[in-house]
Amino acid sequence: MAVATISNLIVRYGTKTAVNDLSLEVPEGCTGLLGPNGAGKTTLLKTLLGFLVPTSGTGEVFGMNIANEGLRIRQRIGLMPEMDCHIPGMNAVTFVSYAGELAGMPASDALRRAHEVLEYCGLGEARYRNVETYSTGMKQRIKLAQALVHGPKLIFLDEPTNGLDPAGRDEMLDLIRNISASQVVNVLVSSHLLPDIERTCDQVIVMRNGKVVRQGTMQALRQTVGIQIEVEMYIETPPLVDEMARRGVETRHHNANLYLMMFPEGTHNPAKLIFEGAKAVGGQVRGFHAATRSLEDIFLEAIE
Amino acid sequence: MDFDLPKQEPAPPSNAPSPIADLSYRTYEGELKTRSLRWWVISMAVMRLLKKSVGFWINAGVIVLIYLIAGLQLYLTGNLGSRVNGALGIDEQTKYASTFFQVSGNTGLMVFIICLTVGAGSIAADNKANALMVYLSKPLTKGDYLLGKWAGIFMTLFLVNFCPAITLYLYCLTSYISQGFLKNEPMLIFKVFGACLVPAIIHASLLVGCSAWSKSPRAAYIFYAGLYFLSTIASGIMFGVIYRGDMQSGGHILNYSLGGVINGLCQSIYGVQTVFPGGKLPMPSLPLMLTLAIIFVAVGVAAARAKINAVEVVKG
Repeated sequence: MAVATISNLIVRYGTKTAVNDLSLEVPEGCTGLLGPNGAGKTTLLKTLLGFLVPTSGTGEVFGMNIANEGLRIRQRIGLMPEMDCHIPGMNAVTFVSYAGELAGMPASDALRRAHEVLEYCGLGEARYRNVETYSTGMKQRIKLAQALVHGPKLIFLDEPTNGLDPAGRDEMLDLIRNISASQVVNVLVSSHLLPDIERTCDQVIVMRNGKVVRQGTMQALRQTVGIQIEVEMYIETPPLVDEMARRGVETRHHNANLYLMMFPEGTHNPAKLIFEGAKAVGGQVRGFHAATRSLEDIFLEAIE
Repeated sequence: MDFDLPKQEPAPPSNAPSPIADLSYRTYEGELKTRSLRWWVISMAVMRLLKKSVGFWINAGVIVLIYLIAGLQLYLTGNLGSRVNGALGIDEQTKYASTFFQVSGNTGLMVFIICLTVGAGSIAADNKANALMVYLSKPLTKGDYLLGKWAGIFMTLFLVNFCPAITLYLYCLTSYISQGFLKNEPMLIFKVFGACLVPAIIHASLLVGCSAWSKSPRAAYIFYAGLYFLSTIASGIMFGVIYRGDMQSGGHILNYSLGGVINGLCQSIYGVQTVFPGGKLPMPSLPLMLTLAIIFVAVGVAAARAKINAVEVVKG
């Protein structure tokens, strides 16, 4: 079941079209929203939250219309914005419980839940410190805590690892993975950092110029077309490319002693062809395995 | 001696899952209140932040002191007798209203400073800390947010004025009821209430506008203080240039400033004429003062409403 559905959505800022005839479904689980800067990722999130009125098209989040049910949608959504944000003059507990009260929680429930969420986000020890004194990593965590406090069913994480050191980034990604693994919260992560998406998400939506250019599960997107095999030779063997081409196999030299071979559909015994080709040019095969595409390949291919 | 200590289990590694604490994510399934109360949560937060403000407590203390002095003044004149009061120029019919009006004028500066303390940072600090995204990503509208901020400033200013004023009123009621307090001025309680509302409404409305358009509390502070004092100076210069200091014919010009409108409205509410060495000044025009006050309120609120947005849209 999709948590959000969008059909032919167009969002314009004056004369600039930020989202152009976009149609997509955000499935349950953890979904990554990828795209270069200016692709329309943040605009899409803001439209789903009801901050921007679409020029045309329709959209629903949990079956609620984005054009006129923004308040009801925000009741069930948590947003972790990209930029630093806090309410001045408050410590972490006050800030998070205040965010809960703003979402309609009774004060006592909000306070209890604030302690719980801060503990969960790893800020238990620093909960009585003023948020203004927090480090960048802690500020990212408190943004996540305030997004989770009212028990949303979907959270939008806009560049969640911005400004974090490697250790902090690892912890944040683990936290995101843990939240989506709970299966009570769906997560939509917007990022231009491919390893972050690769580590946390089950599905990916790639955007460019306000349009979806790729969408699917990680597994499906990584699958290659036809039979593709990555072959490791003992040493670099340049004649192999031409030799394999003579045998009807397109071959690319990846790097050093690695070659990617693309066999025509219906090839019976690719291994035999590899060994014969190597023998013909006097090369030695060290190993081979079915090739998969990295998220970087998928992304680069999508935005080309 | 037996040195064979009992064998101890090795301590679990620090990253081992705790056997007693469930650290997995749990959602909230409890009660959620209706949206109509959320502006109240914001206004309470505005007022709660004042608890630690030394400036607020000092100014509030000065206001209480001014009311205490007024009470003492009433106590002393109350014991002098009507003949002596008449000799001092004190009108028995409007003695209490005059006192309250005088006090509202004396506390004006303190109320103004408190309004800067409470209100300058109300929205500007949120702008600086990007807090609008936190507010507006929750299920509330920008109207809820604005009403909450406005009400936080308004209630603070109103209460800081009204609490000592009503105490003074109750003192007068209990002490001077036999001397015709209620008979002479039966509507005074409503006048006190109205006169406390006026500065609170005008300051709160204009200040949310200034604060919304400022990137930092300091900028809002300077902008609003500048507006207040420059309007006072400008009306003073106009009075000097056009009427050459003639209070009788040009005194009304002094009401054409921010502080002047507040003072003029309070004077109209209490119905007290200002006395100066040349005689009594004419009352300020109530319709004009009311129109100016409504313009101030509308401009302030409209300016704030125009600026508060979850998404800053640059058209082009």
